[in-house]
Amino acid sequence: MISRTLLPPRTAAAVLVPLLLLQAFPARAADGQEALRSLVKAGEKAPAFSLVDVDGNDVSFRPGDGRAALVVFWSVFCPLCRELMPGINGFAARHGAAVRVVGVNLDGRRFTGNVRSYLAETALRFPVGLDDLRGDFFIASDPFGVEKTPTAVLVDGGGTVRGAWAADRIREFLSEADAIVSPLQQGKSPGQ
Amino acid sequence: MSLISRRRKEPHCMPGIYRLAVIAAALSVLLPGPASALCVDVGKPVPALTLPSIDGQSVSLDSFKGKIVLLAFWASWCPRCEEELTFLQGVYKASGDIVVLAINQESQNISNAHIERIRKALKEWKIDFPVLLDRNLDAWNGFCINALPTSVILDRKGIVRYAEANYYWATQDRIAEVIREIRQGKE
Repeated sequence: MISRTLLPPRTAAAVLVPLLLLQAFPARAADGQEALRSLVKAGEKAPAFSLVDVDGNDVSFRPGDGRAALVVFWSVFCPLCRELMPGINGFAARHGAAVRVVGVNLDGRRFTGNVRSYLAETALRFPVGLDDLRGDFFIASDPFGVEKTPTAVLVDGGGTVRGAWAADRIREFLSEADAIVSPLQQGKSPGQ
Repeated sequence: MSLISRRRKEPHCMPGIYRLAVIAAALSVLLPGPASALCVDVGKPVPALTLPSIDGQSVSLDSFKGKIVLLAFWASWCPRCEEELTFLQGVYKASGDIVVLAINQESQNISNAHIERIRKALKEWKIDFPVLLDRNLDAWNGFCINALPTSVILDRKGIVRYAEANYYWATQDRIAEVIREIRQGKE
């Protein structure tokens, strides 16, 4: 009886080999990330990403398109994010013309409703993409090496990271933001 | 002249109660509060809960009746949670009648690579109480968690004696006080 339920060898191989390969080589993010990394540092090239917002609209970040950007990773359930978000929104209001702000929410698709409610309450002046797992890694936050929320990464128009601030350190960024982004607004790139 | 001293001299200054109301309103805007209240009440039992630990064991709240149970809802991305867990580790080590259960709230949407990173962090922080994974959001929904970290303290009968999101409001002194009250048998 048992032998009747066994698959023919070729069929069994066709089923098992891909499974074994998956076990040996787990799925990777599109950019080939193989391990979790630490937070990006000034001078590194910023990774690109493409996400969707709560309504399914595209929220993409293409570093090196000539325009500086501030990428902000956050969670609805993070009190520090809620505290600092008005400051980040203020930054978007002051510098949005020269420095595009892109939000990345890390709460996962089960909490899309919570994100939607928060966005309705706060009227952020920048788009927010919903990060999601692709294989073992999150599409946006893992290539940036995000470990704490909030995290803000400033990227110049050439696609190079100019600075990264996590958790309480974002206060420093916000207090010195005008001076930090001034060279970027003048179109300078690293080394100039 | 400072703004405060100028206000003091104004003849039609705001009456005290209105001034307090304005300050309270301003604080409510400046200090971000939780989105909604927890749905466990002090003096009442908590919902039944069984979750897998990060080491693969099945852990049920019921099994800790007779001990004081500290529930710490946390996530690795939460800057204050490390501080919270290391504080609770000290309490756990110092007291044989206390159990700490750290309930990880990001585990509904992470991969094995992230679990490994959490394990590494717990080792660095020297945490050796059980860490539970809330993969199906049973705890999240059962307790109506809305901010991290959140602490809940159960007495020896499984009754809630303390439940608060404690990013800004609660203090380690308050947790110590609640434990002391439970030990002294206060209702």
